[in-house]
Amino acid sequence: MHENLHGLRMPRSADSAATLLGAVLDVGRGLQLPDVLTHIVRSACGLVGAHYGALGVLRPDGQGLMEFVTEGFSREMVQRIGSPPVGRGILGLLISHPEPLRLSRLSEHPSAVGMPPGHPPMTTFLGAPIRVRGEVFGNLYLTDKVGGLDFTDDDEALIVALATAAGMAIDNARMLHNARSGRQWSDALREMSQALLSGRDQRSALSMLVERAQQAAEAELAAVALAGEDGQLVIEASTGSDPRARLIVGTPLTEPHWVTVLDSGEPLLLLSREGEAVTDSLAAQLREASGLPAHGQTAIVPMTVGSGSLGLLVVGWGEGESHTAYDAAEPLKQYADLAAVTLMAATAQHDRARMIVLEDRERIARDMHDVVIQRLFATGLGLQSASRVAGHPFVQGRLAEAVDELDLAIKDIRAMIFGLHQPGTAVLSDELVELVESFSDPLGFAPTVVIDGNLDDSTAVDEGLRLDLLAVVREALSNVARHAQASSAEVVSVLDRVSLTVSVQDDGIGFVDTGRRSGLANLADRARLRGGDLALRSPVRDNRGTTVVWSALLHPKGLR
Amino acid sequence: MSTVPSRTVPYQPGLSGDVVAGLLNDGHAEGVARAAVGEAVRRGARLRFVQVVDEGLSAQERADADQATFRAAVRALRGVRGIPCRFEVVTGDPTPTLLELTRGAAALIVGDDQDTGQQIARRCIAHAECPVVTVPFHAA
Repeated sequence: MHENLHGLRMPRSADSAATLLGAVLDVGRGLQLPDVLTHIVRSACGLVGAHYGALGVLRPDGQGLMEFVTEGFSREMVQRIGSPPVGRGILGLLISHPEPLRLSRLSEHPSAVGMPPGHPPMTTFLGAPIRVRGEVFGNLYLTDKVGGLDFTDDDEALIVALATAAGMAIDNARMLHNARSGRQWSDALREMSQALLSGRDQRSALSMLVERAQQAAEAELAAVALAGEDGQLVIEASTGSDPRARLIVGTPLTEPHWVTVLDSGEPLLLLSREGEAVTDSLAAQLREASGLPAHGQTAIVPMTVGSGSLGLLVVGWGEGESHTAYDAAEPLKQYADLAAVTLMAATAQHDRARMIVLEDRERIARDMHDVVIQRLFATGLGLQSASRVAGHPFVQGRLAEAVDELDLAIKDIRAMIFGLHQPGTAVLSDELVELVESFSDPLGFAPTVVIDGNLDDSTAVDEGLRLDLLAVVREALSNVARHAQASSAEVVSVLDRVSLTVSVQDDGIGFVDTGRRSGLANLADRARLRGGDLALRSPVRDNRGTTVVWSALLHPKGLR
Repeated sequence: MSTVPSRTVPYQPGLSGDVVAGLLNDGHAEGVARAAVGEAVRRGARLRFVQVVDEGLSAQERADADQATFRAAVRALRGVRGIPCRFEVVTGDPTPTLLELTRGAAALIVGDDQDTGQQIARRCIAHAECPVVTVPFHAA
């Protein structure tokens, strides 16, 4: 007897109920959609004893199949058949009429269109739609029941029940994937904008930008090229699963097509397949230089602010094709545009700090010119007229000397004013970044710098402190290069109202007492002179790493 | 069942042959490219922009032609996300080159050059294995 349970016809025997339960549990295994689909087809074949099984996933527009997962076909068979079906004939019938369908002779159905050459002959057929949240997701197709038998009523009921469970499993896998990739992108966006605005030097911020892009897009390569003032695009940061990906940093993108994409502001998704000519010079050269196969998917995404673009984000995936690249197209564009806005903001921040220094210098120069020189000049004139009325030759001589001195002083001041106007005068934050970058070679990696607070404010950081800061960083980094065997190092400088603290941390083998501590002792002396301190901590974590923290008060003698 | 085609990313890996845009440096490349983009979006296919250039062009002329049609193609792609493409420059006689390249393709889009006396479109329609869409020049 048939029982009616939630509209499903349940199979008669307890045996098949148990098999169904097993199949349903099987279908629920695995969290990734491709695994889930494979499980569904395999379970369906086992459940009704079908020789061949397939699951066709409907295109979003419902007009054909976009994916075809099979069971029972050998690798050679799949190769012989060639491209998967697009959903015509019986497959199409299930698409246009999503109802279970059972046939004894597949080829005799009026909708049959025949099999492609190389396709194994098939006779009996059972098909059923899989619905996800009420919409048809795809269809289960089973053929050739073992023993040459027809599929039965029971088989149909079992497959319909399995399809219901399959729909739920697919829904779960999809939701999980969407949630994961959505979270990855939002994490990437947040971390990238924080890195760019935290005062980190541009190079390490850009490294962070490409690393997060590569992770979130599940890609093999991510690189960023920025346009210089001359419009020339140069790769500023690059990362990938192959270590060669880092070597393309500094490469100019000379091919004019890059600039065309940059100017268009529109992302481009390139796809070349194995066997095709590598005329696609745009992506192929870059891919090969980064250790990727020349063929595959590559996204070129302009980083747009307003009507202009600052640069390009280039993301490459491995050989072959996957949905990942297409799913990433939209979030990548958002990511690139936010990166552009953030880069602009970071540059503005840096420029503002520099502007404050320049304005300060301008004001001092103006004051010296307008006030100090005028006063000295007036004093000089006063002395000159005084010397005319002074009777004594000795007094006259002293007054003339004083006037000459004033003249010299005025000349000196003019020279200083001229010096203040010189644009090439370095600012400390640039000097620090340059110094740290100069250690890339001896260290074998690029150390990062984080600058918190305006180091370029000369009223807070005087000349002595400037020299101390640079000496501390130089000494600490050369220690890392000589002894630490580290793979990364970070310099953090924090300036607040009362003190300057700079720390240099590495992930090396920990502090090695070489007996030669004069460098560190010297640093400690410098700190103490300024009411500060030098602290050395090692190991930092996991029995590795060293941190040197050097601090100094801004105005130790209470001068200001 | 939802039958509203999504405006973007209906691309379906490996299920359809390519849509081929046959571009010539005749000032009508953008119209042809735009029609090809529409066709690729409709079919969920990869888009191959194939530029056929005459033999005997200097390296500079070839590069200029390449740049001009690349620009036209990028303009035609404006607002369309997630359609994979490929750009090729091929030297040769346009008709046989396009016929050769469109084996296994889903469609070929070319400019309707009836009035120019070149008859590339007509010959493609007659001999191509795939459907051929011609784009009237006035629409370009």
